[in-house]
Amino acid sequence: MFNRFSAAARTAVTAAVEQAQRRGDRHVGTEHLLLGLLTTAPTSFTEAFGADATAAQSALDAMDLEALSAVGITGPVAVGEAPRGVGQVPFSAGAKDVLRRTLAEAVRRHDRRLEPVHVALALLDCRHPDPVAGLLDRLGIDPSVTRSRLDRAA
Amino acid sequence: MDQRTLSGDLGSDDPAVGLRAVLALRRLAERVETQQVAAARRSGWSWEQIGDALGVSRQAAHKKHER
Repeated sequence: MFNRFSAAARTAVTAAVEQAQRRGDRHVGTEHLLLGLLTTAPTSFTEAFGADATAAQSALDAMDLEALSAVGITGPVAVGEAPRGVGQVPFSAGAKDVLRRTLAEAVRRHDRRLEPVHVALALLDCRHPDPVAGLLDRLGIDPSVTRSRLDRAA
Repeated sequence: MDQRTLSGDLGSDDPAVGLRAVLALRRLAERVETQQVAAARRSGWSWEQIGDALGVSRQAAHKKHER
């Protein structure tokens, strides 16, 4: 699947896998793909989104705390990292779908290589209850605004 | 209205929140495990003792937490 991905796009996907492992998740989801992009992409990218990786991580942590509180778990919660030696972390169905639609975005723009911008555009099309849709909402990101910024920039 | 009732009213009927809570618990468990295994190693526990305490094999505990 990754043979047409540029080096930058591969770096972003690798960072997404690391983010999933670091957070203690068993799958690489669409929210990790966004974290991977924001961690590795240039400043122009975080400007188009209006958020950086730190803001996205904080938003995910805050959403976790709220969800725990909704089922009655409150109080101080352990921070820190998950174990590193968990082995393979597979892609979620939603993340696989994004990676497939990344190709469609490249075709639409007549680009030969799959770049981080194509991954970003595919992510912005995700709808609820896809995890990245909730994260974008939380960050106050309007997908159509970010999409037009990314389209203009490239 | 106490917080439990308030949060129950807001959250318990929404599967998006409930399912997120399940994942948040799993993430929390992994992070607590990291901290506690590190503490056990500092206290001189063997990988076999840690594996028994976590209900996994010595090899599984070592592979997951060796860094």
